[in-house]
Amino acid sequence: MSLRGLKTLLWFLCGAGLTVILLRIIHGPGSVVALTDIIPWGLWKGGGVVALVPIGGAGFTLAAMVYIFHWKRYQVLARGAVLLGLVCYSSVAAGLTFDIGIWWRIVYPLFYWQFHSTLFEIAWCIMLYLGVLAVEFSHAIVEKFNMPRLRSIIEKTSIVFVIAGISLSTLHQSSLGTMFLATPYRLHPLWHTDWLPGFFLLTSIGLGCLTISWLTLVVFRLYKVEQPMDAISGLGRIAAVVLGFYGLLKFVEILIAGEGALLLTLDWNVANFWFEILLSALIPVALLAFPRFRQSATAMFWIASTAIVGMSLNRVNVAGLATLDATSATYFPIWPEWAVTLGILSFAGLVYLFCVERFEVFSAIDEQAVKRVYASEQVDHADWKTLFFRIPHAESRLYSAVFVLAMGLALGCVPDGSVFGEQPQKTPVTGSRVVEVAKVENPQGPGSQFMIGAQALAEHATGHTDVFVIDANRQAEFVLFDHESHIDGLVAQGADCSTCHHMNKPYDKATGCHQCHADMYLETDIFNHDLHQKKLGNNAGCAKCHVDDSLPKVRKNTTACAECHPGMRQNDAVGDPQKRNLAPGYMDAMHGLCIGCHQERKDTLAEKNEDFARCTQCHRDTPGFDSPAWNDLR
Amino acid sequence: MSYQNMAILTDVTLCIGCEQCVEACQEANRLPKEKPWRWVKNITDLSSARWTTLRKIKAPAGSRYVRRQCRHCLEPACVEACIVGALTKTAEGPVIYDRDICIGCRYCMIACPWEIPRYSWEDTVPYIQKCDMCYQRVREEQKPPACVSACPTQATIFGERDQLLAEARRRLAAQPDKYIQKIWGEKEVGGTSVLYISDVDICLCDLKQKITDTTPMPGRTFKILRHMPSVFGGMAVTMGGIWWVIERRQKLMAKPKPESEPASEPESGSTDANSNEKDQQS
Repeated sequence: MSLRGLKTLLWFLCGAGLTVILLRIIHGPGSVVALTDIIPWGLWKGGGVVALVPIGGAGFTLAAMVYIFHWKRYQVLARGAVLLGLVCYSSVAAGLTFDIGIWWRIVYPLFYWQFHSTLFEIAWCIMLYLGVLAVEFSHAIVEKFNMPRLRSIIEKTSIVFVIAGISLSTLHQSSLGTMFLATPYRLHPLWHTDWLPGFFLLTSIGLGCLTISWLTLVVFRLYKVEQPMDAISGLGRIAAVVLGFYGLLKFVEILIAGEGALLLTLDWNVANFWFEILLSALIPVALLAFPRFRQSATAMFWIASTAIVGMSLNRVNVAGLATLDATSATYFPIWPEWAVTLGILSFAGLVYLFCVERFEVFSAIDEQAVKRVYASEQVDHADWKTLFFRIPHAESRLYSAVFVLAMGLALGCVPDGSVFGEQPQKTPVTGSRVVEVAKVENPQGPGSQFMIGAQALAEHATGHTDVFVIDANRQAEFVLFDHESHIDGLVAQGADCSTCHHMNKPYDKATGCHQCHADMYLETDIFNHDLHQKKLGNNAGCAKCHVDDSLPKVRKNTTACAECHPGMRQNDAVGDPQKRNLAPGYMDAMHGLCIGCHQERKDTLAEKNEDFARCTQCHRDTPGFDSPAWNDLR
Repeated sequence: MSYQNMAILTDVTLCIGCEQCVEACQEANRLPKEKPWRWVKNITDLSSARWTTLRKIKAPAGSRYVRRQCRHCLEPACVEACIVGALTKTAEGPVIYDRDICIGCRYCMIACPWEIPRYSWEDTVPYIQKCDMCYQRVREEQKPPACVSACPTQATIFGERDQLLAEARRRLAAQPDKYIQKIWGEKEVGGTSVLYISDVDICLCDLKQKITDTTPMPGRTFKILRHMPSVFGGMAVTMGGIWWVIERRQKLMAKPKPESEPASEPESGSTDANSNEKDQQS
């Protein structure tokens, strides 16, 4: 891929990410993530923090090798690794800022100290280490701007920062593992172990060697410079030793914990574990054992890619994927989540390339090399792109256009909830089913019982009646409603259908209850604008309701329904009388209509019944829909 | 009147499932109306608008209702996990939440073994939502928590934890055939301030693995975390030592040669040498 093509792609992803971040700031995190109360951590934590920190582990690994152990062979990669650490940790900080619920409180751990929290320790380490990385990288900046006094101060104190950086990294790399020791009931036993902090530290060292190798291979190729295979193959050897040791320890730990038999069972989690350990350790180690592969740039690229994918999977597993089974919940990041994570990473990539071009990150990629690579991708003056994005600054114009396009595309493609704020989900309500039951006297108290099933009907030959089966929320918990006896009861009292059916009596303008109370829990607007328009003579009639022409045509400036329909819904048993055009949810409608009457009548009933107004009076222990008794009746 | 180590005891056998506790809780804490959000699988489950709820259990003897709410553990995992200390276990018993400093990291939701804390995902500025045993109401108005006051059958009662444990034991002993001889919450994860007795086996946690372990949750992370200062110091000293030894050895090896740098500062050897090399290259 050409440098220009890569940058275009990265700018595109940045644009998409920025849109989602802006929406997240406006409507809160709930509107752009697929997280739930049971799975409160997702891609932004698992991928953007827990998996990204060990990738940035290249910084402290190479700093230790070059500045502490004086392994001069890796000198060429040291600054690149520090910069990798810097951009990774900055991405972590940015990702975390937008992941937490209240983003401007990201600095609160500075002021509110809680020494027992693993997260508190990690937050401080990452903050301090970001500072350390900035100082370590400032070498390149002061070099560029030729500040001799500052340079000498930085260089004299540099070893202090290197040592501080290594110690801080040891702490937070391992603490990311410690964090998940708190979840013994969520995390699958193949991953949950007290050795987790050690594993996380060890793998961050092994992975660090491979991430800087991968990045160097890619960057050197992009700038068409010969890749430093001597240093890379050396890192490959170190990575093989460290990851091999990790793989060995991992299996030893599983055997010690007595989970060896688990490895051979057929299970989604076990398959996931084998896939992960193969990618993260076994395959890379096996291939890195061959000097032939270590010397080859192509082979190293693929080995490092495998290990990076595998180890990221490891972190994602610990942070969430391997906990899904225990929680019986599902979660897969929706694309806005990917857009933010990839957008932040893309911006980090662009910053990295910027630094590589402007500062001496890799000594082999100097100004000449950069000029050469851009010259080789020389803009064709007759090309459409050049005509469209005119020279000078054709490149910047292209990137800006792509960035804005991506922002717009993302805004067009995100779900409605992300743009307008998350809305409650509608629960469909369908008409009641009717079923024949046997009505028998309740042996335990007043009232009667309904018996269902062919056997019950046969046993009780008399007293068969039809009842409604109301299961509006579709949870297989239903109410058997005896419509017939309600009619009889009301007629005996001298009342009629309108006691319950306020607006729509049967055969009058019959609509099913659910047509207005269209949702189980949410209010529904039942005002029919089209119908009113038609009846009032189309445009001529507007002014009848929208009285004042100068005001916007919204509900609050409009004539109230009751002014024209004074008799509408005289019985305000349900809902707010101010909101006459809003039908309450089905549940509120049913409860509002039933419970009031029941409460009144509990004392006046012929047989006094304290329980008459209690929920269990209607929500009895009816057998669930999975009961075989229903089979005969369907 | 001062309160110390207060608790709630729920007798599952007495609960009739009227949900008056739920209503009272929503009223006392001014919670919004429950709505079927994307993250609310079951509207009658705990949510940001429902800090306590009844869960129906079908048993051979008939249905039982188990009230779910924050367990107010004696050694709470959430308090240990919270990054800024927004959650506190009070001497009075409840685990309370300070919404003014919460950053919304949601580690408490991950750490809680009972899966209790909920999040108001629907809000632009969301907060953790969970029962606080009506901390303010109990302290300032000297009234028991709203759910307890509302219960028509006294299935759920409020009192000092020791006294409630004694009361629970008394009930278990009085009707040994009726009750399962166990007080839920007495010992699990170090004990909780919300206790249950029942005549059927009740499941109080949502996770597949049942919680029977009596080890308190906080120790699981802190046993490692408390070594961190010494790890930091040890690592720094080790790395400094290695650096010093190698640095000195290289300097000694370089000494006899006449072209070595004259009078370079003792500490800055390696980095100086590196940058010099680079200068020469460029």
